Amino acid sequence: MIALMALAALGAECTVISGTTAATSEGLQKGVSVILDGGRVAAVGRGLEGLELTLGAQSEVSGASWQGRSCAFVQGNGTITTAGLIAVDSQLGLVEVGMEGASRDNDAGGDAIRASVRIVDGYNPRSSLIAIQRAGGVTSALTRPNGGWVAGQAAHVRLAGRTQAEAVVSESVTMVASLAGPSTAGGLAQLVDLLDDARDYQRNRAAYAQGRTRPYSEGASRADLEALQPVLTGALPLSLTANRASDLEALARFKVEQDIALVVHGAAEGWLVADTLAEAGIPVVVDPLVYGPGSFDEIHGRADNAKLLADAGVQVMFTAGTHNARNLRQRAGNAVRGGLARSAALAALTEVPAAVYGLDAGRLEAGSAGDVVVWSGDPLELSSAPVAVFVGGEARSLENRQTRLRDAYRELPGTPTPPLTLP
Amino acid sequence: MQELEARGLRSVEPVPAVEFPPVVLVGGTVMTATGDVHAPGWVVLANGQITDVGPGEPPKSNTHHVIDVTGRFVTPGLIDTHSHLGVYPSPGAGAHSDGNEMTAPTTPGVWAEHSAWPQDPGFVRALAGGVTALQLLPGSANLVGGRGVIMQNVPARGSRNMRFPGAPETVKMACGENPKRVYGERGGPATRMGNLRGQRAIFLEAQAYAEEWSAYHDALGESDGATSKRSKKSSSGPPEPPKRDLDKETLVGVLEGRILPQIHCYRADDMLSFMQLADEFDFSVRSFHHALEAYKIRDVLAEREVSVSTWADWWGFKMEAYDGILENAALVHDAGGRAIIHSDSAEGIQRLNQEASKAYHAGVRAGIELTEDDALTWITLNPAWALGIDEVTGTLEPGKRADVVVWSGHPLSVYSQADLVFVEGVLRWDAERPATWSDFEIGQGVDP
Repeated sequence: MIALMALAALGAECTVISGTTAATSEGLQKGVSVILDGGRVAAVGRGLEGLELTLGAQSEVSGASWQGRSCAFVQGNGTITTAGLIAVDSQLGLVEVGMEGASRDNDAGGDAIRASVRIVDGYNPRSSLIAIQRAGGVTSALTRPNGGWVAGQAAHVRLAGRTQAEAVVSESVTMVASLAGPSTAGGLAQLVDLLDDARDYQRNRAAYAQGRTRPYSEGASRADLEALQPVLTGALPLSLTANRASDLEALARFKVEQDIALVVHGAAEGWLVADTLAEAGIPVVVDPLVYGPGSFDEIHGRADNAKLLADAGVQVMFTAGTHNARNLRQRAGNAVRGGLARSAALAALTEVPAAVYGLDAGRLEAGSAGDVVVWSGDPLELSSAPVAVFVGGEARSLENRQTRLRDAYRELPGTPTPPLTLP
Repeated sequence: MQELEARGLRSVEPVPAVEFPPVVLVGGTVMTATGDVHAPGWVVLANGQITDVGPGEPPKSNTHHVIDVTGRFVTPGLIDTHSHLGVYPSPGAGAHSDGNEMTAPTTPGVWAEHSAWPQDPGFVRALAGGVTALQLLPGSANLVGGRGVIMQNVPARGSRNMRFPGAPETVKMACGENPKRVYGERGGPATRMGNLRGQRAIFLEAQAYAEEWSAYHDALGESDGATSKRSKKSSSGPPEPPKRDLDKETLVGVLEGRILPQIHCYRADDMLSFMQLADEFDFSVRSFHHALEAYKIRDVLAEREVSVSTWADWWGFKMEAYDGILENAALVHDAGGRAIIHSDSAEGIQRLNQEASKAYHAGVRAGIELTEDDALTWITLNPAWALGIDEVTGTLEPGKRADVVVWSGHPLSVYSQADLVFVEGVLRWDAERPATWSDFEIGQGVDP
């Protein structure tokens, strides 16, 4: 068991994680300290100026101060410290129980075109799923709408905080759409039309206000056409799902012709067109576990998909869905099993999403966000687990509804509790 | 009745003979799933069986084919109690959706075997994950979904020849949300109480049917001059057998203990209700499947020897899956029950070892006393028991079938893969020479 000393000083302004191995963009740095201060990472390294370690009786480190202030202290010997993981393909805070409509806020409903929807308006920071994923080392997430063929805008949320105001980092980080209809060609044609409408609208706002523009795609409201403007400039990536190699090729052409930013989810056959995806600058969100012909679009899926995509220069990220976003690291471990370098597999959960979506997260270096996880060992290995999770520089509880249920039934008969004592 | 049923179990497909020299696996860590781990150790496979296992150096032999597995791990073949391979094959296709006979809420007479497509590419992928035996089940739409079938993971032209030799028959039944969701607006059941009524009603019918057969055998005994004392039949010729009823035959098999009930059930209270039904009709549940709340009633399950087939961490997709916890399997094991990690997934079956690993490490982290060999039994010996084949497979012991996996590294590591997989002593998978036996995949990779 890893000693978590003085972490009881919750709410201390600074935290020192000492003697850990830090996974930074320069690679693994052994025997370093990681300092969290003012909600961010203040420093990562050895012999940091301003850091004083207190030695205990057996000359083990037992406490620390930073720039003269006493800090919460994590004895990090044997641990690996990484940036907190980012779940880029989740509906966290939008879905509690998958099949219960009353517990879902992921589908805005209404017209098929919902570009103006900011799904984060339905984000529930008290969802039980949030602490459950956090205990697995996931510290922030993209939470995504679905439904319609332009589902709306996904948000970036930190997995902590009691209010939307505390949790939401960015209300809009990607526009989620799908290839509607029975064919790839039809779906793309619809999207081309819609983007063309948004361009026409941009050039003719005055005419639009007077009802003098040509008819636009059915269901595209003024607010939708406005919301699509950052997609046209490439400031807001469009997110589409496709798996078949030929569909990916078509998406690459679409992306280049439209001159937009595009992220593709799925990409099970991406390895067959890896160079095309790399050349078009299309990052992908893949599931390293889905290989084998689960569908007619995945007939050529294989275990080394992530490796071959990364080798070609494609930015690769992973999905583990919503309820078990905590399994992202297992997904990454399987990509390594399929040949991907470990550093690239970890980056797929941290640095790559940060770069693709411009997130304030995913890096571990002086000045980076204070979303940090201290792991008992190799973060991608099943035997490891987080021993401390920081979000926004604060140590967060690893307790959650599942650990409480476990504890409630540690002794049977569990929650059917004994009679109350008489008053 | 059993003799008549047996006619439905003959095969028309010849079994090709495969012959190998005896094989000895040398130098690896041998995890036997009996509690013994030999590091290093060796295993001898001959004539489809494990003939010897031990630590250190193997006995010298000139006749054995030696495979050096130094640095690698040897385990029993993995067994999945819950698969829909073949009945919901890959790639997903409307024409191949053969898993739920959703035409009536009780269909005990259908057999998953008759839906199972041996060309499902998923079988080879499961093999590549170390799976040597598996139970194919109908889906959970129905109160009684029909018979499951226990397969060995071997290529065949028809599903019958995949049957695991000597394995018992099984039946799939379902509690909770699925039947009432499917039939709620199609004549019912629409509620949990409707589910239970439906199941009790058909067991009452099965009891009556069993009595008809019993009376027939009594009468037959009398007309043969045997020692039946109770028959009222007079001398009007030999007695007529009852009309055969495929649905009732399956349930009579359950009442007689020949057909092992495999019950889809998530919630603790639903499992308790079902066990009360089983008591009413005097049969035993062999395994609850999914059973996310087994930890809440692990004392009852252990005491009654009901095994628990569950996942490592699936939860939250519906209300009855809301209380899942990571320590479910570990707590069941800790209470003396039989924990099993199943897949219910064409993808999950490819890495049962990783799922067992997650469940094991969650238990260890929670302070539950477990060994790695315990975790291995969750995907080997215990599923073998749930399927009634633990006498012949599920551990590395002399006399058992040579269902054996050589792993590239520790089987509980995310980085390990099955390098070699033997099914009944026959090498069926070699990661160095990956090959599919699915006709569907033939030619799909031809360079355009």
